[in-house]
Amino acid sequence: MTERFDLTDQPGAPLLRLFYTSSAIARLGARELALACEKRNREAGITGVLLRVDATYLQVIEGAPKAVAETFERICCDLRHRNLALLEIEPADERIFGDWSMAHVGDSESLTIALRDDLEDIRLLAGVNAHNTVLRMRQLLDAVRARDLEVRNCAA
Amino acid sequence: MHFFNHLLHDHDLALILLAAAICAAGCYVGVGLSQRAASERGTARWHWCFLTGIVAGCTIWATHFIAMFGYRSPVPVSLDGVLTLLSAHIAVVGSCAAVAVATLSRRLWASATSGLLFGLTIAAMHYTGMSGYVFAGAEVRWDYGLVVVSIALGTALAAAANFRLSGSDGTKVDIGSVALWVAAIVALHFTGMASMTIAPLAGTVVTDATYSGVGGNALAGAIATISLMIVGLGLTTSQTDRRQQLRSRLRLQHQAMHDALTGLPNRRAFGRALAKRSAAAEATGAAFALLVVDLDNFKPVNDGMGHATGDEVLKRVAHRLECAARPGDFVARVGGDEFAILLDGVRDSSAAGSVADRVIEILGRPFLIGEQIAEIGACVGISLAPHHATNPSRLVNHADHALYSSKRRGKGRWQVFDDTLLEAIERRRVLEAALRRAAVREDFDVVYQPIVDSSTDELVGAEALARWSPATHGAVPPAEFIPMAEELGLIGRIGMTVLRKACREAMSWPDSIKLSVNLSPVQILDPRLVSGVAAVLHETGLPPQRLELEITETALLGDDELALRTLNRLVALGVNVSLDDFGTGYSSLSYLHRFPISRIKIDGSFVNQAPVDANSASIVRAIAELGKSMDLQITAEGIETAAQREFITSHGCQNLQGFLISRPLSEAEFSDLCRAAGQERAA
Ligand SMILES: Cc1cc2nc3c(=O)[nH]c(=O)nc-3n(C[C@H](O)[C@H](O)[C@H](O)COP(=O)(O)O)c2cc1C
Repeated sequence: MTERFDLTDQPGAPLLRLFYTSSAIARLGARELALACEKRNREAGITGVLLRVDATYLQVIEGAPKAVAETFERICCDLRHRNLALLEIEPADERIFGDWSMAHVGDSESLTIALRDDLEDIRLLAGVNAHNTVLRMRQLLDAVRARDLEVRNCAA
Repeated sequence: MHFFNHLLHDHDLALILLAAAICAAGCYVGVGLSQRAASERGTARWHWCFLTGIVAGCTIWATHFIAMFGYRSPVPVSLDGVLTLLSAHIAVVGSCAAVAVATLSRRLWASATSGLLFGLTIAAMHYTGMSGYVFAGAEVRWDYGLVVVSIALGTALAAAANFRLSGSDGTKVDIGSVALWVAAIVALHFTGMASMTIAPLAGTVVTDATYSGVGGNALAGAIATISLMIVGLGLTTSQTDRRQQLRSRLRLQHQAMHDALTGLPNRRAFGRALAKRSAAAEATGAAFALLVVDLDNFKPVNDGMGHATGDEVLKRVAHRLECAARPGDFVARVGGDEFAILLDGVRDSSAAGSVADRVIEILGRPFLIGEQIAEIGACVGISLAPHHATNPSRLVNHADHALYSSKRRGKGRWQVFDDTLLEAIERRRVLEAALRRAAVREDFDVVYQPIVDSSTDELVGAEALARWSPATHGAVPPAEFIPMAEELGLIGRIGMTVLRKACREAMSWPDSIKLSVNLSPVQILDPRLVSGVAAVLHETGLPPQRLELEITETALLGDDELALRTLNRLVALGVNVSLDDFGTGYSSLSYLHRFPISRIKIDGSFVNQAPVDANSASIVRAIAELGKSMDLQITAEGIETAAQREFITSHGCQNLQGFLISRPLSEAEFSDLCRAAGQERAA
């Protein structure tokens, strides 16, 4: 469910990270959305994560400022979500989601109870402390990755 | 019949046809070029005249010479080089002159003169050329009658051609003029040829005509080729030019109908689109909706973040609007920060409203430009055709009225026009006029709401409240007329009127009674405020310590440096400043530290709910504690029940105000209350 790829930023080149939430108005899941824009994000050097918790999307995008602005404008032109709230935008020295052109968690994914709780926590935390929420999202991805590894090992 | 016999008998048909073809092609190009020349000004015109002259001149000359090669001379012929060249020059120079004269004016004199010049040019070329033919062993006899006829014919036809041309609009090559040009050249040539008789001298052997030197056909071929090349050059030039003109006309048309910044159709294009749809609605009842979209908050973004950012925002707004509209809807930029959308086939408010919702949603999202965030928003006014009107300007008017009323209700709203809007707008217009009059006449009453000490119940002060009851409307609530006064720029004046009146009346109360007067945020930004307050204190004699000025948090939000300076100067006068409606707005504690505030007034909405609502209760408790720790006085407003009073008092608010204590009183009533309180204390 996650895709690794190599991304080499120029050392010292400025990065921008942006975090917003919005409400879904359709059944459109994080998986479909993330897969749909993965290619474009990779070409633009955008990395990030998209979660869907019930009817809320939470998305982080990071990359070169221009690419982030263009991607965010595209997202703002999309009427398949509403009540878009920009929670944080900050310059960054390095990527938090450098391994994912657009990771996604949510919807129909077979999640453990623990992960489900994590998702719920992240949604509640978003309105209170945006920065910590972004870090929690990265931890969530690590947890999912560890679980996947475990599943694969068990199968092997 | 002599003429035609002559023509057929004396000429080689193939060469004559070639001459005719060159003549027709050359005249076609020449006419096109001369039309182009006439449409130009200045030097460009002379360049076009020159080109036209060369093409026309070559055409005449080539026609003549090729036709001459087709002429079967009874005796050998040789060409005099000088005269032949001279005839070519005459053709070109004369044609240039004729075309130049024709472009001078569209009047008859110009086309007549030019026609005359052109006719004479053809004639001069013809007869000069003819005199360059040396017929060996023959005598050339002229029929001068026919010579005159030939010149007259050529000149008349050329004049007719130019007259036609002067009336053409230049968009297409005028075929009539081409035919007349051809006719002028052909008529002159063949009439000229008929006027000439070659009589071989006795003893000359009559053979087929031969040209000495170069073979006749080769010469004819060379002349024809070069002439065709020149004509071709003229043709390509004029075609390229035509295409370019067409392209630039299309571009101009596009520019005239589109906004350069956003690329959207502009106001003019919108006017046409609206007129077209209105006519259809009128004729067939075809429904459509008009949405006018006005940006909120664009000016501050444009002024504060720079015009480049403002322009970028507008471009993105245009794109977002196209995303929000349905495919095929007409989106236009009709003003600086005003856009319009035409929705075809929309008959009812709800369909139009759902597009308006999308517009408001999409424009309410942030704009990330560089690393800056611009937040704007939009209001939308809607009118429906044919339901509201089918007249374009009424539809626009109705949508504007709806927009006006949606803006009045706040940011991010939409509103569909309806007739009651007109009444509301009319009421407002009348009220505005009345308010202007009242501001001049100082036609306001002041009432006083008593404030008591929470522990002793003693009367300690009053809040002055402005009342306005225009004769035509009865009492207008402050919530309606104060914002109106702010918008109309009357608030400073009205505020001072109320302050002066209240201070004067407070002079008759006991010294222990304080007076609170509200200041609008607009007044705080007015540089005349401090001197005005000082003047009122001086005029009325009220000790500054008895006056408390109430401000709201919004006053501190805008230019807070300016607000801070103003408040410091007010405090320097000796008056106190209190923060009204505390808890409702941004309630930043930093205000309390930065600004010279000596009292907080807890908003009535918390007080109302306090005893039962845990949240409000904790807010009241927090504010009360804050007051204690920062050594601020606390007044609770809007006390309506004994329970609220008890709760508030137990949490340490010093002063109380509200209906439970007393409603606002007239000056006379309040004076009575002061007197009664005084007696009570004395007793
Ligand atoms: C929740 C959500 C997340 C999105 N994330 C991205 C993204 O990461 N990258 C991107 O390019 N577009 C993103 N989009 C925008 C849509 O995919 C957008 O409609 C699409 O890129 C537009 O493509 P088009 O210009 O080819 O129509 C997102 C949209 C939504 C609703």
